[in-house]
Amino acid sequence: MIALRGLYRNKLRTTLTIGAVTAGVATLVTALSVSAGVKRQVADTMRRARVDVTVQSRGAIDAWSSRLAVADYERLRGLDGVRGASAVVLERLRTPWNSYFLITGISAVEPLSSRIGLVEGRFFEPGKRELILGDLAARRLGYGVGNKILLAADEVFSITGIYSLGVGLLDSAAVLDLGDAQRLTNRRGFVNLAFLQVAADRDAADLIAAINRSFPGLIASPSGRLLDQTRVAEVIDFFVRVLVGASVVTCGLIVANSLLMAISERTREIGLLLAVGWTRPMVVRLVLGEAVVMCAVAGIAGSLLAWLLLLIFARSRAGGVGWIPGFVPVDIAVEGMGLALGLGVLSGLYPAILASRVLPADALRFE
Amino acid sequence: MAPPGADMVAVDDLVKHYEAGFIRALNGVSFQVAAGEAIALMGPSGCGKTTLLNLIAALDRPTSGEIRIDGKPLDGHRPFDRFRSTYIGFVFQLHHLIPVLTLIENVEVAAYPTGLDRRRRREKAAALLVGLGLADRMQALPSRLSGGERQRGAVARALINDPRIILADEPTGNVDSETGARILELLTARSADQGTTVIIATHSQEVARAANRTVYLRDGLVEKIA
Repeated sequence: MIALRGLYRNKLRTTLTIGAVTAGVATLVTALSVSAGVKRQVADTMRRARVDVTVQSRGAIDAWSSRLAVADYERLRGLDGVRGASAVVLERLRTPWNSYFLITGISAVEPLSSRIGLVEGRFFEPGKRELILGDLAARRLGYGVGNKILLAADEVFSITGIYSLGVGLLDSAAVLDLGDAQRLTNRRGFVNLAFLQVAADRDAADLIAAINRSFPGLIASPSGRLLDQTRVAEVIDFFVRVLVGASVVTCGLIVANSLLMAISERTREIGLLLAVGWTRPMVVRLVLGEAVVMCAVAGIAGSLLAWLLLLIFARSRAGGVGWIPGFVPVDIAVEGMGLALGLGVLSGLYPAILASRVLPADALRFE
Repeated sequence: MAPPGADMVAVDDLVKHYEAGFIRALNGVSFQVAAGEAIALMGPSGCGKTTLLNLIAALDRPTSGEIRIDGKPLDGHRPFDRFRSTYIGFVFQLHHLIPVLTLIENVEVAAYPTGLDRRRRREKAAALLVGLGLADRMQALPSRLSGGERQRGAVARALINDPRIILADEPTGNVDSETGARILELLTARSADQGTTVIIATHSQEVARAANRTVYLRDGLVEKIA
């Protein structure tokens, strides 16, 4: 009760402190949600496409910068234990209407093409400058079957179908013929990735080991871990960790500073509590209670704010961010809440101990 | 508990210096207060009355000398927080009510360490406030109370744990004469009816007259006991 009332004492300071921690938690939850969302989308895509193993060039910063020679791809396709293979070209195009428009090039005769569910129209035909458009992209751009789309100078494509994979990242993109994609992205003789299906009687791990042994310039991994093999994923993970650390430290300092100010203003009150028989642990609990209440409120508000931000991003047409998941995964919301509560305890501990060490007579004389 | 007439508080050659001896608040004070006795501490400002009360309540440590409470040295009553919640009811010169708590919550605050359940705590606090004429002010914040009401609230807070010793520092100093008389009556009645030892630091002759004895302090020494 006293801890709660204490927060009312200086409403502006309490609000500002909660606001700062809310911003920190929201940053953390948003970053983690985006990172987890992208990984989940990629894993979902692989699962739906029934891809067991992905292969890319070793040390690639990301899937877009991976360069896998078509000759190597042909050798991979012929490996013992490979039941099916699909070559993939990935690129973000700077188009007049979207600076990060994702295109995916696949062969119409390879297994991946049969995994793409069309909701309207037909599949593209090779060599005719045709493409199929994700339903999210079609909605945002206002395009439909029969429309033409400009992907680069003199590169006008006809939209022959609309697909939906249920994966925001890919449903905001276009899929076109592998050869067209190689021409558009200057990747003649190269693709970005090879998606492999393992034969029913073979183990994916054995195939991965064999590829990694025989192709020193390539790296094979279980399909769900495609992103983990890229340097950009490492960079993002590192960045998220730095962001989390910086947010935690900043929020902790803000809460601790706010509490130090509060207990300084209430020195006489703390002296009074000790004078009427409150134990030092009771005073510690009182101050910690205030910190935890502030951080708990900030934890909830931060998760809600993150959810709101993700919703806005997910519905945004700007900057190609429409593929961002429009929700906060429960485990990340729980993580954010746990972090906020932990922050409350950690940042409140020093002010609480300081408050409990006040000498009652000195505190009661404090002006 | 000490039987009636036995010493509840015994102060022996008590010295308290501050600022490395530059401020000499008490220079060897000795006196005894029997259980159930009400005494007044009188003397000019700065003579050491508040310091003496703080030392008896274990809010501060003496430079030298000894305080015995209920026949035991003060150190034998450790932990002091427990000692303060069971033995001592302190009425401070300034009411020290917590501004964000209502009057009744302020009274209840002193009962938290005793582990009294919420309902019993509230009942006791309410009964005390009713007895002090504050029945209709229980839910008011201190900022909405008059000086007299605040001081009566502070008295109620001092009494909620049924302390064996009440230490009151100028309890009537900042209130009107009617409120002052009411507070004094309540404190002396506790002494007479429940055997509570009462020590009141005061400048008031009326308070001194109501006490069983008066200890006069000057320059940190006992000048006389009458």
